[in-house]
Amino acid sequence: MRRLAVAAALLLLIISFVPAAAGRDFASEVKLNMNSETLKQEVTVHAFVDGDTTHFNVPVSVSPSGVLKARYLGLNTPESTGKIEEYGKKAASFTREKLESASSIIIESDDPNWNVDSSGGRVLVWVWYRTGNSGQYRNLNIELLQNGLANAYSTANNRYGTTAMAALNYAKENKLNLFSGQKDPDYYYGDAVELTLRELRCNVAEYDGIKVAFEGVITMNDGGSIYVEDYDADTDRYYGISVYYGHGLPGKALEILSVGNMSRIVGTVQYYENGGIYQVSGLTYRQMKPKDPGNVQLISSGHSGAFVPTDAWLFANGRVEVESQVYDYAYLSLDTTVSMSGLKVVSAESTDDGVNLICRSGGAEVAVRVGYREDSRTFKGKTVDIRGIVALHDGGYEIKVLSQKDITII
Amino acid sequence: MKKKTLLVAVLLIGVLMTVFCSGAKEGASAKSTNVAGAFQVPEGGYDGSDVTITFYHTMGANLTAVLDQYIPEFNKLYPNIRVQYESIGSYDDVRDQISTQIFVGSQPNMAYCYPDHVALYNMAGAVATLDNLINSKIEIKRADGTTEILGLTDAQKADFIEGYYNEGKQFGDGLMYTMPLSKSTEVLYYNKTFFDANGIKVPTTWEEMEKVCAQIKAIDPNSIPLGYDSESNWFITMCEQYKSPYTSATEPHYQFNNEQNVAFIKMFRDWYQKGYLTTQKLYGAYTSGLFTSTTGVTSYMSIGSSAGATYQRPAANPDGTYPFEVGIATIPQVSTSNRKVISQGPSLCIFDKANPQEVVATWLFVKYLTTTVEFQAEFGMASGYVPVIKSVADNEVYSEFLASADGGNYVTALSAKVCLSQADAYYTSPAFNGSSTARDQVGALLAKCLTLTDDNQIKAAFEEAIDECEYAN
Repeated sequence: MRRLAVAAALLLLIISFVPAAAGRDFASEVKLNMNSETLKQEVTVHAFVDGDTTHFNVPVSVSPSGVLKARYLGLNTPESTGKIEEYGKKAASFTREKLESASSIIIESDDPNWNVDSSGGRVLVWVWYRTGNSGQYRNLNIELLQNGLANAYSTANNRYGTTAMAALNYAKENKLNLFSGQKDPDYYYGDAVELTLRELRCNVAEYDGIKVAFEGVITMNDGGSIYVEDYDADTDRYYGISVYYGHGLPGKALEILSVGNMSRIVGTVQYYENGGIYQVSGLTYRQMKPKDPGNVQLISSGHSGAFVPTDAWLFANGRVEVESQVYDYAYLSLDTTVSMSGLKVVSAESTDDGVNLICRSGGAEVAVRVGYREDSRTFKGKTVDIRGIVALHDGGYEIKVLSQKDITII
Repeated sequence: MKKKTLLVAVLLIGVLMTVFCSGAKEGASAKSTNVAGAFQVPEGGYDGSDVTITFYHTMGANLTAVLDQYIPEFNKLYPNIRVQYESIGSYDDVRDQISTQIFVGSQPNMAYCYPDHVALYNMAGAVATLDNLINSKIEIKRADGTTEILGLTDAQKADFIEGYYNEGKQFGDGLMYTMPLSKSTEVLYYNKTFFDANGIKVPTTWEEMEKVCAQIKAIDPNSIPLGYDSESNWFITMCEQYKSPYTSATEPHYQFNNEQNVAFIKMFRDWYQKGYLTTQKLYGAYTSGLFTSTTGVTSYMSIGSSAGATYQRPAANPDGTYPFEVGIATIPQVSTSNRKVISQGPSLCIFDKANPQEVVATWLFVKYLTTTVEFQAEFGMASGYVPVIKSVADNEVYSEFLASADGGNYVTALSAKVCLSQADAYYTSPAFNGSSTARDQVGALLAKCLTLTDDNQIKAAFEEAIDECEYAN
């Protein structure tokens, strides 16, 4: 019996390697079996991240937070977060378009468990969707493969491996997207655009996907990111940006990116779907060629963040005109350091890794995110002075306080 | 397990097809009649023709960034050789993907490989032997006007660290199948700040490790003192350290069910039951996550690849300092008189192709990656991998890199230093058809046994693992 199963599987595999007829739709060749031993869950999209990662709203029985961070099984789409790669944007757009058009989305595990990836942070899933109220569900993982928008990643080793491999081979044979040998029209191949942080902040969407170079003071470190700000005398304001550096940079580059340094940053502007923010990523450093223009470079050290004293009402309601364009005061201050005094804490809510405060001052309400673990009662009803970074969270502005020394309870 | 059986079946069919179709394969007569696929260098070597070569690897973004820098440098010499790479996932994913592709001849031109992968591919005679390429004296013109011989000069051959180079010919026929790209081993990462603050001595033996785990547990009862990422490596390394049988290149292949191995499994099972340790399978993710955590449950030691040092460093504080300093040491030993650490890190193999120009062009790229000091140094500095050629040590930038080693920004340098310091303790396991299965089985066996309380169940688990190996192959 076991030999028979192996022979049958072998036959299927061989069939899958028969050159595919043009227009073959592998995404509909596999069928969602609601009675199989795998786990399934109907979901809605919480946030799009990139081509192979989506955050889904799920019942708390599936994930206590109500959100499941899903990594698509059997493939690896090119990066569009952290680093921009050719066809990364197209893959991210493809996933978004398919799921936005879906009337129903079901995620499925590969076996009877919700398995996580090696980082431990994302659940590995098959994503099925359909656009009408009835009809068959399509397998988005396989659809990405058959359209040449993903590379192989454990493609053969899963429950739909045979079809997934055939879809991948189809994309290669038909030279689709990643395998086309053509340049990605959405990818920026040019040299870095030299600009100021003011120019970047005021027109950030225009630089999405573009390699840029700018100078600024590194004010704070936030996990795998740093905040960089620069003063513009013309408008008498500071402008900033968040720069993601992750795990890939060598020690020399990390030194250059130390807090307090003024450095030249070269990286690619990207829209970080999950946070709804723009950041710069894809930094490199050639140690064998330290003067390489693509490297981050140290200009001088001994600086600090400006921590511009900011009025709560202005932060919450202010509007500023720069070059005939009117912006929210807080928008122009994004990723810069500010300080604020005399904030009355009206609510404090603890989360897994910090405390969310709502504060009032001068008739205005300001959201403050305390980015370290603390008992919420420490702040409730108190008046505080804070120093932090202006950030965007769930569409609203807030001030992130990253260390204990930057919040004083009066 | 069925998947593995399937792969082997696919390769066997590949062998049959190779035999049956050999008459129709024009190129084959111009090469060699050797079933193992000995490669005959075409007259004139590389003829400058347009060739696209595909390269399967497991590199993350930090290393593809290095590759991205050096492919254009290679193309300055050989503009008509286009290199396309794909990051496939884990080493096992590369193996499985290629195994299925060999069947229809769509395998890449080159790939990251371990010896047991090559043994598997060679069931279909798919790997090109490198001897004739290495020894070729054919002069090749490069686009910058310079020339080089197709093969390796005597100086280039002598520049390779001998042990790494010889790993390429451990397949029983004396022929060279792989070239080393970079090497790594497993190291013990420890929270140096915590160790120093509590006066804890870094364990050098497993006996000392047990005491250190107990010591840490007494200080922080909620901790899991040790995380070990690779269960397979752990099992195989213990066999080496105990000098107890694991596998053999000759029959009987699977020898790991023995008293000594059962004994060390039981010892670690007891440690697990005391809350001293966890592994990747049991924790559900790389144990570096536990080690770098500064809130909740944490570990204070982590055994993982020396090439993953940046993932063992905690996230920086807002001011750029680190919550704790990372220390790196060699892994504990059973006895200091028989030091053994696993030799890891990718080698490169080249696949046979109908067009010999593809093979020669791929060789030129492999030669470039393995003999270019700048690439070897840059790749090593970005990853913590150790270069495979000696001349990198004389490179000023690399020397400075090693000198800067610390437990913070320069943790990769510290890792490389520890890795280099134990080159005399490296071991490799026999490569044969089925060695890959054995590796998977002992990893699963170890993880399973840690959770078993009944010794009879452990005995049965060993027997089952042997059965699975024999059934699969």
